Parts: sequence; C-alpha cells; structure tokens
Amino acid sequence: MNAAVVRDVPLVVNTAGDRWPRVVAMTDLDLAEAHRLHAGELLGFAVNALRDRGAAEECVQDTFTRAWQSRASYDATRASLRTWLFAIARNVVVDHVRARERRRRRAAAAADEAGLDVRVVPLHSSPESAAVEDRLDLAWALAQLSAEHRRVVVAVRLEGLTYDALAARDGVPVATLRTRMYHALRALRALLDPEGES
Amino acid sequence: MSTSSERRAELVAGAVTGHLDPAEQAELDALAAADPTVRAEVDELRAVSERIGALGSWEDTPAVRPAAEEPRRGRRTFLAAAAALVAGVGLGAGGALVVQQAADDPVGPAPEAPVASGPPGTLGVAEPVRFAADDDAADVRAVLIPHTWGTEAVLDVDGLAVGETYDVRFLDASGSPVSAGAFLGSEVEIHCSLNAAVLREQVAVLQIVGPGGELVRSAQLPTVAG
Repeated sequence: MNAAVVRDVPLVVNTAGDRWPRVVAMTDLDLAEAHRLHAGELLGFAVNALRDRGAAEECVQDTFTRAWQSRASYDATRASLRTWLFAIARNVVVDHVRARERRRRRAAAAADEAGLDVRVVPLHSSPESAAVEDRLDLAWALAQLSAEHRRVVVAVRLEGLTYDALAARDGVPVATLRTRMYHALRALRALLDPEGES
Repeated sequence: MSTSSERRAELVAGAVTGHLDPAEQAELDALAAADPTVRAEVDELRAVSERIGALGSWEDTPAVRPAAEEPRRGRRTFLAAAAALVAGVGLGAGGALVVQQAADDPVGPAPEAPVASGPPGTLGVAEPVRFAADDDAADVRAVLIPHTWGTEAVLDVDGLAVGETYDVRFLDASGSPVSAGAFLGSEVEIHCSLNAAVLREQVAVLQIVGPGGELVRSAQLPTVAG
C-alpha cells in the first residue's frame, strides 16, 4: 500500500486563526469533520489543476480515502492536518495526470499503428506535460491561501483589476488589499519554493 | 506588524504589481535606499506574481453536481466507497450508518441515499483498494465488497494486453491463494465483478496475475474485524 508523502510546508496564510483544529494524534481524527472543513478547498485545487470537474471530484474522494488508509503515517508535529491533506491531494492529482498521459500515449500509439497521423506525446518530457505540472503546482499553492488572500491575487493578477477597482468592488480599503497581496505572495513563494524560503 | 512594516508591505505589493503612483514610487525608492532588502523582495515577489499569471484564470469551487449525473458506473462506485469511508471513519469501527451530508457540503451528497457505510469489512460497503506502485501503462482500479458468502472484487481495467487472460485471486494470511475468477484484456475500458468464496476478514492480499504467471497488480489489504 502506498504511504502518503507529507511535505513540510512552513507557511500557509490562514487569517481565520483557529478555524482548522489541530489533530494531535490519528486517534483524534474525525475524517468526516476533516471532509467538511477541507473538501471544498481541496476541490478548488483539483478543479483548477485539472480543469476537469469530474476528475477533480474523484481526486478529492481519493484524497480522503488515502488519508484514512495512511493515517498511521501522519505526524502532527510535522504538518497540520490541512497541510497533510493537501500533500496527499497533490500526490493524487499527479497520479491522475500521469495515468491520463499513459492513456493518451497508448491511444496515440494505437493510432500510429493503424496508420493514422497522430503524434505520440512522450511521457513527462513534452512541453504539454511541463505546462500541466506547472499549473498543478500553481493551483496547489494558490488553493492553500485563505479565501481573502486568494481573492486579491486572482483579481489583480488573473483578472487584471487594479487595487482601486477591487476596493470599489469588495468594499475593502486599498491598503488592506495591498497588505493581503504582500502576504499572499510571500506564502506562495514559501509553498512553491520551500527550499529558497529564508 | 508595526505601522512602518505595514506601509512597507503596501509599497512592495504595489511595486510588484505595478500600481504605485509617483509619490508612492518615490517613497519606495527612499525606503529601498535605506534598506537594500526592499529591492530584493520586490524582485522575488514579482517573480512569484508573474509565475501565478501562467494560471490564466481561477475557478472558485463551484456548486456540487449530483453524482447521479456521472455516466460511468466505476466512478460512482468509487465515489460511494470514498463517501462511505469518510462517514464510517468519523464514527469509528462500530456498526453501519446512513450517510447524511449538510446541504452546503462542497462535494455534495452521497450518490445514492440512504447508503450503507462503515469501515472496511462492513458487509455491502465498497472498500477502495490501493495497489502497489507499478511501472506499466495499464490503469487498474478496484474496490472490494464483503458479503456473507464471500468477497467481491469490482475492477475497472484499461490498457492490459488485448485477448490475454488475467487471473484475480486473494491470498489469506498464510499466503494461500483463493481464486476470484479471470477476465480478458480488452481494447476498451472494462468494468467487471469477480467473486471469491472467502470472507473479507480472511483475505490479506489482492493480486492480478498475467498470462505468464507474472504479477500485474498486488495490494496489501488492511486487516478488518470479522
């Protein structure tokens, strides 16, 4: 049985403070409660990594199944339950992407054998694969921000809003939005490049 | 955070995304002249910001689509199994229960309600199987369903050699095999159910064996109470 790999991520923005209860030992784990608290944000990660709602739902379900099966490997001194679940979810989504690529490669190979003009995409070495993996990393990091921090990143960086426009839309002062952006980017840097985080 | 550090954060964020007005730019320049880490941080966070731009867009977690709309039986099987596990573990290793999820649950209600659920080994409850890592191109998934008459293995298989025979068997704690049947590799994804005359609590391993006797998939199964 595969054991879940727990990545020790040092900083995750969580302005909600004690919103996520800390599990001390697996005997304390209420997976139904964990599902209620975290399934939504895990689904957000999977949906944005895969751009496939059905596959994302499967990945979230598989994440909780793996969590339950791997609960003995969880070390609360290394990571929060939330971080642990996100680490499992990342592995699940990576497995899904690789399985999908294997199927595509087989289909392309079969088409090639049949004399059809279809290019066989090499596994893990194509630009398409690199782009998928990069999007997976970015979605994984962005999904771990608090909703307030993610909202300002998405609005300013992905939707092209100015801080003034966002302030008008959400009724939040520009200074607060900028501060959120600052901390969001620091958290993203820590998540995407934990080795380089000082 | 002190007021000055808050202002520093505001200026850095504005510089990263290019939203400083001339007065603010001058304020940042003065800050950077006194603190060389300011420029470095702007550069580092700008790199992060630009990288995030590669996402293109972000979809907020959408409302739940009822699982009943799912077209594939295999997918529904896994969803039901996972939902059962989630609910069952929350209540411990006791008896069966009915899955009830709040209306605002982001991944929605179980696909069929009521759904018998419980930990692995509960009669009628599907238990997802985690196979050991493999290096072939096939996609093989399985769930087990304990019955009073034995153990059912429900398989979704794609990519095994077409026309070849694959045996499915369980091993008990002593390593003795009990056959659950066999299936043929197909050009299309197959969904099949095989049964073995051995109770779930007596099986320790699920194996799929290829036509030459090679081990195609193997999964250690958690011990369950009888």
